[in-house]
Amino acid sequence: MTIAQQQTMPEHRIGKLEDFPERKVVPVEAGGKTIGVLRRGDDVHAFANRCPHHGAPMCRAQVSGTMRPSEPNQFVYDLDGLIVKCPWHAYEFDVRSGEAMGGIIRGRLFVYHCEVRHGEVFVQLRRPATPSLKASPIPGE
Amino acid sequence: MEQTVTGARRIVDCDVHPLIKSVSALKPYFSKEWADFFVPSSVGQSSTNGFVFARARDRYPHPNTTYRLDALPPAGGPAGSDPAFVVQDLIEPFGITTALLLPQEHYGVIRFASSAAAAAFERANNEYLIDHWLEADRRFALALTVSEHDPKAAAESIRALGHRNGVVGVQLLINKSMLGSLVFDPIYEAAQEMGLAIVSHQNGSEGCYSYSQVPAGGAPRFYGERHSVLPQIGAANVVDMIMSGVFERFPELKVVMVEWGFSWLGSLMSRADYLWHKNRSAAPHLKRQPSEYLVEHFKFATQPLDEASGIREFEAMFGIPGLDRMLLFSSDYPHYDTDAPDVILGKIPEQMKDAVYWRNAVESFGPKIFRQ
Repeated sequence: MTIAQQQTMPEHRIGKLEDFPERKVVPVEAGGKTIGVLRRGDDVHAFANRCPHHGAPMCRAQVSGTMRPSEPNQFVYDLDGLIVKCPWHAYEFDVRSGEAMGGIIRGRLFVYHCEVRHGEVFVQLRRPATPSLKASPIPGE
Repeated sequence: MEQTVTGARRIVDCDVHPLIKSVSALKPYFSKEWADFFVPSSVGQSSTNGFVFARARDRYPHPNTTYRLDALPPAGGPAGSDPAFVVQDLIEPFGITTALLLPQEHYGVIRFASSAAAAAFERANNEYLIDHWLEADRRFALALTVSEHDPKAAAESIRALGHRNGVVGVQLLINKSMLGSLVFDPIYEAAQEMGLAIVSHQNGSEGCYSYSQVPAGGAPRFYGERHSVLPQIGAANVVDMIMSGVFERFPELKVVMVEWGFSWLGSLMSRADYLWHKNRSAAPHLKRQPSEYLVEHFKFATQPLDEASGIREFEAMFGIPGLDRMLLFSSDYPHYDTDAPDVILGKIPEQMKDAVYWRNAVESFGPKIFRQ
């Protein structure tokens, strides 16, 4: 899909920023699909209602953080509020990129382009232009 | 290929867990004395997941909820507690012909010190499920559950309820004794007499219940460590049944191993054969080598299907000698580590599909696995 095609894709207004509490996946309808929406600070993320592993409904995911790889007897909890955990096998996905934590599965959770403008939240049913997560600070920290 | 009227293959799901909303529901099935014993102050009454339903989380955190959050019935109650919703959520969408019900309330029974209490609870639970689940839909089948507390009482219960329409097996809890122990002979005798397969499903983790069997070497540190080595318990009991001569004593007995895995069967069979041949005098009652008993008498359920790292591992897993006679499909609905039927059945090699979908289930449970 070219940039021009992406820009002409329909944009769906899915609500106001305050409609989306943190740490809770909110299912919304957009473009005939049910998608999951998760707010973290002033950012909002949207993703498909289907786990890439066995197809579980990701709108029923729990929100958490995750343990980073660490030295023995050290526990480094990170990405709080940005991890969605599949309601079936507990696979964890970074909601910003759809990447599976720890590489448990090669496939990614499909994430959608999502923007907040003037307190309103908009979604396009296409992949976002995801920046490198390593270079991306965690919102609000 | 035998087909249903809809043209699809028959599918037997050998691991579906019903849950009773509250022990109070069992009250009509208890005598007044046992109702007083169980109902007012039962351990686990306040559990969010039903009576005496406690598992690995007692030792270490569970990685998720034990049940699928999307399997909670809209009308309320824990996952697996509404027969109509199980039909709607599992049986209808995936075209399941028969769902074998393996109740889990009993898993807490193994910590009971009173044999009489164990027998009373098991009998009430079995009767409840016959009335409320088998009567609800002909696509449900049930394995009656018994423990080793009082094998004679268990055998009586098997003979009393084993003829009921939809009862196809006996779920035998693993407790202090290995399954090859003579203590189980009254149960095996009754099961064989009634044409019911023995079903073994992991029941309670070490430390969770007093007598639960522990994987070799000691107690694992966390859930993942435990489940990595959990097949040890299943494998040990398979070998124990064979080597102790259960199938010479009960030549018609069938055994279904659920949630113990199967990818380890190849090495287990070759080791058991080799070592038995080297030491036949220790088990002279065996007329054939162990692997022959295993293939003839045992079945193994697919869930949780190992996540093969590549095609070579996958082919090795499905290339185990005799596996086409031993594998059964299971979903483990409504638990969090469920295997989606469409995903798993799609992975079964084409030449094994009929056997895994239903033929092997008929071999274990008989034609009564399909109710009219």
